Amino acid sequence: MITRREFNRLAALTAATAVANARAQQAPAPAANVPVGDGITWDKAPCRFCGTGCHVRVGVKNGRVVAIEGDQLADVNKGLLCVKGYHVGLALYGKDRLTQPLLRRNGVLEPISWEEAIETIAQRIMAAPEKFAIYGSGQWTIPEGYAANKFIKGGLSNNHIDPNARLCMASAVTGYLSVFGVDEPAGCYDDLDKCDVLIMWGNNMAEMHPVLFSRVIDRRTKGEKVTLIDVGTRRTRTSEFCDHYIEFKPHSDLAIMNGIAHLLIEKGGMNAEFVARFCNFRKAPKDPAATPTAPLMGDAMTFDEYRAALSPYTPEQVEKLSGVPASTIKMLADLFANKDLRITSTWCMGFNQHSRGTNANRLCHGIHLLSGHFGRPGDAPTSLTGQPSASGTAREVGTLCHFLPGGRMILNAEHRKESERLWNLPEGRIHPKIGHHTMLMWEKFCTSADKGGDIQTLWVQVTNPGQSLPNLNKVFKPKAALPDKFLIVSEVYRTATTELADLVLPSSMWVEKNGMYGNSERRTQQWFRMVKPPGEARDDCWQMLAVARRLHDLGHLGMKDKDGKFLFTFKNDKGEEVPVWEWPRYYEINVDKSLFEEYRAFTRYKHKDLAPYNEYVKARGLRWPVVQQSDGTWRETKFRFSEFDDPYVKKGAKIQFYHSTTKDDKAQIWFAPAEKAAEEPDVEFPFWLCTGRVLEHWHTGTMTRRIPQLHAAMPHAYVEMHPEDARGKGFANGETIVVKTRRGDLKLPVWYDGRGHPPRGTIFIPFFDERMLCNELTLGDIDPISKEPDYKKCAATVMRAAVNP
Amino acid sequence: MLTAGLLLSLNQNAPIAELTFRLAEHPAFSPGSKQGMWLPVVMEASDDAESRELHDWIAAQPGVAFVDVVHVNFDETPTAST
Ligand code: SF4
Repeated sequence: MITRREFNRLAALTAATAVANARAQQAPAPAANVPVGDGITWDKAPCRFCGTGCHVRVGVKNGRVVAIEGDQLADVNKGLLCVKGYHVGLALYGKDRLTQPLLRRNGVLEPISWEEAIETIAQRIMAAPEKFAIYGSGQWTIPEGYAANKFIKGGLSNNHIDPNARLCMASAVTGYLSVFGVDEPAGCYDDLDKCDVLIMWGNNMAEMHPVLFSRVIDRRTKGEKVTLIDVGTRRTRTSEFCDHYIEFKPHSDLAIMNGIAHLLIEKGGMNAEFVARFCNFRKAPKDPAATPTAPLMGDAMTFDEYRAALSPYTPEQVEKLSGVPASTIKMLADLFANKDLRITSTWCMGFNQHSRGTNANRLCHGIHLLSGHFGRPGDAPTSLTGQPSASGTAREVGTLCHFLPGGRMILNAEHRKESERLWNLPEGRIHPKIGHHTMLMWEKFCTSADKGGDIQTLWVQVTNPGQSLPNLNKVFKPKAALPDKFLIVSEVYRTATTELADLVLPSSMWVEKNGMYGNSERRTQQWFRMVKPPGEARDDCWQMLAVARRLHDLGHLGMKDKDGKFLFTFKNDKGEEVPVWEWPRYYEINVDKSLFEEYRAFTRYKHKDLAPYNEYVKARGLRWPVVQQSDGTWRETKFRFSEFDDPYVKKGAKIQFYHSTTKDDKAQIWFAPAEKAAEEPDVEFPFWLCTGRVLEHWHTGTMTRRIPQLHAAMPHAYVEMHPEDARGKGFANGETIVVKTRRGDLKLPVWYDGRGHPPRGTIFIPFFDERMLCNELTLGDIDPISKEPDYKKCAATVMRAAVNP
Repeated sequence: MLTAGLLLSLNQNAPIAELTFRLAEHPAFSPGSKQGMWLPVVMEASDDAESRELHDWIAAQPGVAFVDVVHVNFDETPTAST
């Protein structure tokens, strides 16, 4: 008889051998014949963590997740997982899961019933619906985000809803919108399999999107030549694998990209035919306030004006601005000038969390367009997301304060009208004014009402702003001294945010509920509930629907459509209405499916067509637009705007930017000048402070710090320094020091010659550790267009802990 | 006990025989049969710290370009709180 240990070993070896075999044969991995038995049942789900969107097979036994396996049928990861992914099942089982609603009374969170919790929220909203806000997440599932969006915009006529994706992806959104007229990448992960050159712009892919990085390393293992280039401000694990590590002075990335564009034009590397046929030139508008869309539209400029604007960015001048040798700028320009190469650019927070993040995105698209490195597999500028559904939920569902679902805008009367029609609302229900974006929302919440703080009640779901907002002492901590403000937090564990919460709602997580995510490459993914949540924890979506229903019963007119029906009316297969706001009946039907089918009707306007729910049940995700074929099957699109793959491109057009902002099917090449950062090192604060992530922990560490293996591997935060800077200060490796900025100070151990290697004059702190909140130090200066804060650059100083206790 | 199925991507000039021997000798690893430049390996770790140490150890072996994880069983792994 096979022992349990032998069984586990056999299962592990079978799975690994199947993937090895598939790689050796360069074929998709077949489903491994993992031995069956031992009472484990398996089902598919996307990983809970990053925006790569790997698929896992989840093994469940006795109502508990006991095994995880990379899904060999998944295109994204072909059976592989990173260290976080293979521990994802343990994220459910931290000992301190929240299991009961908790209400703060006399400063203490005390257990209450769900009825009391829902009533409390409904009464707060009834009292002042216009002073209520929702702060959501790129970890919301698509149906969760859709329900919240409909509830507040369509039900409460209030647009104060924004997701944490404002803190990570907003600049990519404004980049895509202003260049292509529509959000999200044209290419996909297949580009990584085809490119000759991969340039990672401020993107530590080896740690942040490790499975994608492995996909590229795999090509090298097969003997293929692929040149890897890391352009960054700190040497990382990614740099170690690269052919070129190009280190630049913080905030000078715009100068580098202008330098490349300048050389492309002056040295004949521009693809004149591509540019003439498919591109226009734009610059910042003279009057950004002229119309709400002026910053995204910009002003037209001629090619000669564009060329003249770039003329100061000679390689020598760029070297002065960026510290990158002129010869390296020329090397980069030569690569782009080579039409035989296929070049993929990737970026993530390095470009986005940047007070000129929109411009950084625009310029990167610009050098691809100018050189014609666009539209062929392997030739693509592609942003990566940090959260599993930053694209699917925050961007596509439109849970930002200025969006409606499917790429529609609040400020556009036609878009409001159409959304009202799709939601069956009376005309004029959707408020025409955009809501507060994240930073404004939290500032207003943390300001007393008499001083203009117009948000009184704020409901946070699936995110941890008490740790992830920048400049916490300004935009989060003041809440503690404002007793009339009411903070509701739906969470799975206690966090830095629940510390100030007035009401805490215990939530189901990941495979404890049905869900759908949308990853970085436009891939929509689906999974079913596999295990039950602990105690009284309930789904976030149910919480929203239960509050909506209570408001309906209290007589809030917004909770009814124009026919007087409740906004969230769902029927079973027999056509009978099911009161899903009653928790015992919530899973009587598939609420996700009902919400998703309703949402689908919104998706065609911007050609982000989604297939019916059941298609996603069968697939390991599908990349939109997903278009039905004449034989009734559904086909995904890998390469948008390219005739060979995108069904919406006109025959003979070759490439067609069919949502062009200039309505001529052309993309926009922007000029944007290099500018100084909002705060730069000086005598008092002589270091650049950069913050970021580490391989083992995902975002604020709420889940991964509860996974023993990951916690043991990276138990606490640290400050990375260059060894000479540290030794110059007399710091021993591991010594606790103080890092100070104009906004706060923080004690933490110094680490040099460790994992990352910042250059002299730069320090780095990861943000995963709630006991060492680096966001008490960050500046949070925002990009004027995307409103995304800069977490990568501010001025800091360091000192011995003993002299500054 | 944590049991993981690892996939080692090997360098072109990896000393394959030596590597396989070293893994076979190690009580925590059981190598499978090499497929092209990929070697499947089973890893068993008794506790949290060991799992990480073993991962780092195998990644540092001459000839190993990258370590991916394909499968993990943790049904007897303890849970933690922070
Ligand atoms: S790369 Fe991201 S999605 Fe894939 S397993 Fe790791 S954390 Fe999960």
